[in-house]
Amino acid sequence: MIGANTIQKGTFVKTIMARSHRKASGKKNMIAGLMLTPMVDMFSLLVIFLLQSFSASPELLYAAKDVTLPSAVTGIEVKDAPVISVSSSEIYVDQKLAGNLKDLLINPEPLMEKLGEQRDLWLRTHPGQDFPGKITLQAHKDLPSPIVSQLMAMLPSQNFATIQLAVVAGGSEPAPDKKVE
Amino acid sequence: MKLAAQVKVLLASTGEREPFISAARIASSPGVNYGDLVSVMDELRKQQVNNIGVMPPGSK
Repeated sequence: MIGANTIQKGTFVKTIMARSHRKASGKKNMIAGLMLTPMVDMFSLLVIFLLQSFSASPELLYAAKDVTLPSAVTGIEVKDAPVISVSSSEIYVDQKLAGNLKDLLINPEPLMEKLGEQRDLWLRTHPGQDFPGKITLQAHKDLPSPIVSQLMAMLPSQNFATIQLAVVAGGSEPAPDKKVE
Repeated sequence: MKLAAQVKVLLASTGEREPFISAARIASSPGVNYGDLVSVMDELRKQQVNNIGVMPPGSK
């Protein structure tokens, strides 16, 4: 008598015989126990680690193709904002092509539409909040400065008044934050 | 970089007077590329000039 169960000798022998027969025939009788408590502990640690590592890291910017960013020592952490990328020939808004640089400088309407879409998207996703008007500008360092300043002057018309210039950190921090007059 | 160095010398020449320069406006020029413009801004920020405006071309 073991606990409340009675094992009859004949039944036990049959079970052992059946098991050995299965082993002999090449089939394994797999019995695996799952330890729930250590598993939950391990997953809890993993979740905490992932939360901490993602919250500690600043926003990441994807460098646009054909754009070499200028470097700067001073700067602040990159804030989450739409990104306008200006290469020597094209302009992208959030990695989507807005058009040819020369064409957009003559007729900025397609660029304004894209920026307006970005602003409307933000307003839809943040109902009841004031639009912060921040935008990150990635521009190729060899572009003539009047082209960049002309583009910067266009941005406030779509309520993007605070322009963050994306730079390569020459020191420890990236991106100076500045306002356009 | 040369332009930024000139700005550094210019800011140093204003001496130790207080209050120091608190804001700056930068007018872009066709002979200056964007990288140099950023380096000038960087130099200004090093001197605690954080309120920087870039003038659009043609404005005075």
